Amino acid sequence: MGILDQYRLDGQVAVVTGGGRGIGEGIAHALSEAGASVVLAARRKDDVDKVAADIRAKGGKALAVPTDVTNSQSLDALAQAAVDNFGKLSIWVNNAGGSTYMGPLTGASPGAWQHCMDTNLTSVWEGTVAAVKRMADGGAVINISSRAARGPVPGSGHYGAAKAAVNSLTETFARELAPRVRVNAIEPAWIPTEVVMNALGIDESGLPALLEKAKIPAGRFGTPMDIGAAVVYLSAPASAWITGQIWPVTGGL
Amino acid sequence: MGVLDQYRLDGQVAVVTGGGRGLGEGIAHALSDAGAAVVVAARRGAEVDKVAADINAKGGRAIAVPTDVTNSQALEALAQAAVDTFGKLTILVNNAGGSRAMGPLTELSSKDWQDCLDLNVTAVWAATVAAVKRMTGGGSIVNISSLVARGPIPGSGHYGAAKAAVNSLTETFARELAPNIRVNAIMPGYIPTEVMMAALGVTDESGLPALAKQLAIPMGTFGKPQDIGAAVVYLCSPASGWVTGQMLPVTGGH
Repeated sequence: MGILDQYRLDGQVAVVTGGGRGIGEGIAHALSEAGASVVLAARRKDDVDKVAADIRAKGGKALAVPTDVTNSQSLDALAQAAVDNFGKLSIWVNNAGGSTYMGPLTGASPGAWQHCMDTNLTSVWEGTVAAVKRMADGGAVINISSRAARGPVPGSGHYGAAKAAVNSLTETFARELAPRVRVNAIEPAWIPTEVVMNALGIDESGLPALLEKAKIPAGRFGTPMDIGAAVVYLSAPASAWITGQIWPVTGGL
Repeated sequence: MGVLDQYRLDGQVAVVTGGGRGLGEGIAHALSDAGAAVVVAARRGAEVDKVAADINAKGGRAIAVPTDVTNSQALEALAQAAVDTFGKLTILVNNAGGSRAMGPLTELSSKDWQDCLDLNVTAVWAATVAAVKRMTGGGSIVNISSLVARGPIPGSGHYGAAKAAVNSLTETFARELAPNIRVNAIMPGYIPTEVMMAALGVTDESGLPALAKQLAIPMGTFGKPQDIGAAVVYLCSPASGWVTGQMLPVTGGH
């Protein structure tokens, strides 16, 4: 097998949570371009329907499954939908996440705290459990963590704590599931998706000022496809000897 | 550009130090398979000649440049050979390294200590300096570090310290050379090349299964040079265009 074939995902079946837009949408397109069938999951039906239609229009195979990742039964149904429609499940990308609250840790309500943990952390544990019981022949799990897991992030301490816990889950799942299923995480930094811009209260006109403030060594923001290319690598035979690792894709931060 | 095209290295020119065997040989083949022209460098002329011949026989483009990486003039000549032969230099893989001496830090001779730093650290600094002045259109540098950089390995403390310094160099070079040149490192785990087997005291391959068990590699198998080659291709290609200053472990789960 030539080296470039090692990045191919022909015959594989992938689930992407939070696949309706932003980074998840980019990951879904990347997985499809690499040859995988893709199941798009997110709360908003319109969003996942559109991404699935876009992928099919390009000649890929895709299915939209509206999913609430904070509901474990919904996650189990999602994993089963992959098997029912495409015959198996071999790649699972825990990408859904985010936080509606921003502010100091002392100001977070118990409800906001719990919602952040449910969305970013418990969903990764439950999603992975639902997936791996259907990965009898092996597979790869990729968790989309965040650079916020690595250092103090005033205003997003709850989110940073949840993502740090995702990194820890990645390491333990990797040990417990080896050698059958590989588990790795990616830590993106500044990628100005719609969700991020809304959280920061800016639109595209605010990006140049933000780029200056972010001091990204690479001199540009990341794109969903930067993350997509990392996900393809970590899902493919090219990374067969990599598990339990946290890969920063950060423009040098 | 489809995502699979992002891993291609068509039109790129790579230098691989320590390219005569083991990991470096695997890296050279991987870069060639991905489309790059490859300059294979190592001390032993016969070994780099063979690797270059193998690549050319497969339809790739390669030259062999016997090089002592502890000699900064030799490194300058190596970088220039890439430009003279293939018109440019866009990828440098600092793979040469290792240590003949093994033993507790308290018993290491000054010469063994200095030899280890010359080969594993100073060579990375000098080769990177030589390469980047020729990477006028941008480029990518990958340093082959070691998992030893992250934790104590009694008997290899000098080597671990040198590789930890390589990781630090990776981070600083990345900041200083951004955004045109990306600099990353790979930390391989246990890959039973001839050199590593000697370091681990394994005399032939029949001892490997027992050793794999003793090392408790989560994936249950040793790594292969190709595992590192595929990571190098990712880190040199447009697929990782927003990745710099990172140390990526390729370790079978360690």
